[in-house]
Amino acid sequence: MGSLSCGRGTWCIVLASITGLAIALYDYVTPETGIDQSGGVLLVIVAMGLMLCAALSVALLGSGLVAGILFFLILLDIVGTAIAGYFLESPMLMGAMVIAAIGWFRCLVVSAQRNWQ
Amino acid sequence: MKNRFYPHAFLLAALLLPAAPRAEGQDWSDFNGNVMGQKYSTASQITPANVKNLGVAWSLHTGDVSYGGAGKMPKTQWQSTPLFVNNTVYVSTPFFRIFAIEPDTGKVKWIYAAHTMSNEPNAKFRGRNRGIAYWAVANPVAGQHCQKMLYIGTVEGQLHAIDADSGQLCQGFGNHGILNVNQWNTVNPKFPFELNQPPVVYKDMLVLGWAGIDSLWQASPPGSVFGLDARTGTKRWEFQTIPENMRQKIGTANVWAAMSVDVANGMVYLPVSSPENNFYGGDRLQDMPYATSVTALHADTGQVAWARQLVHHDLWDLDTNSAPTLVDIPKGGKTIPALVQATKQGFLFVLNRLTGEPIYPIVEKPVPKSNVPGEIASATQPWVPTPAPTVGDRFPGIFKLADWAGGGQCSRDYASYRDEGRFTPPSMGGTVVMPPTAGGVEWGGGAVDPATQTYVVNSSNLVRIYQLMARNEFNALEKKIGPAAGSPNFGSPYASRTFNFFNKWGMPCWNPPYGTLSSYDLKTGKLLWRHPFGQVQQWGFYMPESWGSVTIGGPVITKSGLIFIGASMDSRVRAVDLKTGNVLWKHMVAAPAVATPAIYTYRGRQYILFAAGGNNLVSPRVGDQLVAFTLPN
Repeated sequence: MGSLSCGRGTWCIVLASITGLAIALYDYVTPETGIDQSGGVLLVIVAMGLMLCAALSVALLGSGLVAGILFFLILLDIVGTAIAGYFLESPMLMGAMVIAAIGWFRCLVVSAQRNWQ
Repeated sequence: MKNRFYPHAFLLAALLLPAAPRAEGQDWSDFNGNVMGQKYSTASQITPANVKNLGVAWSLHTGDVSYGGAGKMPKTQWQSTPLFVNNTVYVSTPFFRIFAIEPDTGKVKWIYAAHTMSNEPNAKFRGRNRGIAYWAVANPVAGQHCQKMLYIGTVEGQLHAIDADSGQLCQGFGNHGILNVNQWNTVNPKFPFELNQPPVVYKDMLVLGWAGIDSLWQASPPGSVFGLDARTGTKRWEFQTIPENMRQKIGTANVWAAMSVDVANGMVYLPVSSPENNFYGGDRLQDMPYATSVTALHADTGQVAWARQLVHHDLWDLDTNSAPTLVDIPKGGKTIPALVQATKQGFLFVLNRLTGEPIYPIVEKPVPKSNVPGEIASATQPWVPTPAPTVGDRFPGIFKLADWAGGGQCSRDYASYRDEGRFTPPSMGGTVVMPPTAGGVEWGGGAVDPATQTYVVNSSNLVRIYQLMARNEFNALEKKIGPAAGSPNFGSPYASRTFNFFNKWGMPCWNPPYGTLSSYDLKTGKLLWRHPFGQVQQWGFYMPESWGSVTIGGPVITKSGLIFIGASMDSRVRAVDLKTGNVLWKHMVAAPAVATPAIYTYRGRQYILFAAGGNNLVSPRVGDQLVAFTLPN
């Protein structure tokens, strides 16, 4: 397994997951959103928490099998949360996942370039 | 020449000049806007072009909400359409309080609390209220008490009369302001008359029905309607819906929904519900012509003018459940005084309101027989091909996504049930019923533009399973699983169980849409458009708009060509183009706005008022928000 030390890409995911978590927490407690207290938002809160932990772990671990698996799981998390955001009609959550996806792909590209060299 | 002040001249001028004119139809003085059940406003400031700019003018939380879970207090169902009259917004709450509110600011003027045991969390409290009625003398004298009165009923059959200016009880009404309507509950008084729906006003009279408890006792109170003096509460007449020789053993067929009035012709129109037992009629094989009917009474005397039964020998709990909409229809060079009776069946009965004769044909069609011992289902049922029913005649097919998600459960269950289309009687093995008691058009009813005779109505496509159980089988099941076993129907050989046709994940087993909004031209009976309406929301996730939503509460129409409606599961209120059915504006509110909205104009501004209180039938979300929308200055 090559190195996943992709710098800004990982921090981009960390930032997106913190943003997503904040949005989901706001949605969960704000009646005007129409999705407060819902199982769907609770699911997103958990997903954002896991993404944050995974992204930090990848940033710290840098490389290895565990980092690789976590990196793959982050992608699933991004896709799943984006879909949840679509059905929760939360464009801000979807926006946060776009940022996370950019970070993930940047990480992938940078890692690939480093490993190639 | 000196300028002199002539106070008496000003006084004279004030007396001679008419009061500041208010355009007719811009109050909302009745549950349905007017006593004709039209839900129509002549207000035209908000138009299809500017409705996108609509914003919140004011919002008020009454505090009268129960989220359930604590003690015996159930979740509230706030279904109260506010009134705007006497330059005041009046709204009643599920805790039986009336709020008098300034129409432009939302500031509370006064609150009246009907101090009843309903305010306590006991088993009788059902946490629902559908509004208040307003009556005023022909020429109110300023400063005189109880010239303008509000009426609110309670769950124990007490009708309170309150002075609309001060919020004080009107001492001349009933016993110091409270009329004990339950004193007339003398046959099988298993429960008090629940005065959920406000009375309808006819001249100086109130016409009052009541609600009860379904499927618990076969011998429950038989349906009755009262004509009361609006000033004193004195009973002027009483109408019974069940033949005298059956009243001791069969109950209800009550009028629990709003009624409408044709003042000019002195008629009041009653949507009469189904008799007990709701799902087994072997003990009531005798003809009951007023059960599940629309019945016209002479409002002054309570004598029957005509009646039309809409379901014969009702075995599906298909109560006639909304006020008929009265409208004059130009047809064949004549103007026909008509009424439109929307129903749970999804049929729209368009009748001459003076004679009860159909304007569009009603066909008696053969329907399936019952296979339950003791039951003899009616051989035919009334069918209305035009206007096109809001609900189809057949089960709409298994929803593949739900079937797949449930591992084929939907298909397997469907194969085990009886389904021969509309009016398939309940059975011991389970019958697929569409539309069931909560389907089709609910108590919100439809709205009409009387100028163009365009009729708009929302409807739900719901499928439920009706199953009868022998008494001993039910008793054994009830011991095992408690109230989930079903409804006991004490006094009947059969208990009953009804449930939505869902898979194990709670997904509907039938194809969408689950709710629609339709528009008809009453002059021709033609369907102008029909669209899925609202969105289903599950665990917060919104399903596609093409699925629509189950709805409760009705639409209102404005002269400017807009429909305003809450009603859907998704806690959004919407403005819809009357011509096309396209949604032009939507806004999130605290809970599904299952109360029909009210429209009024005050100080030159038009307001749309929604009570967002929710109803467990459409969504678990409940609330206590009253919110008014208007255009920006």
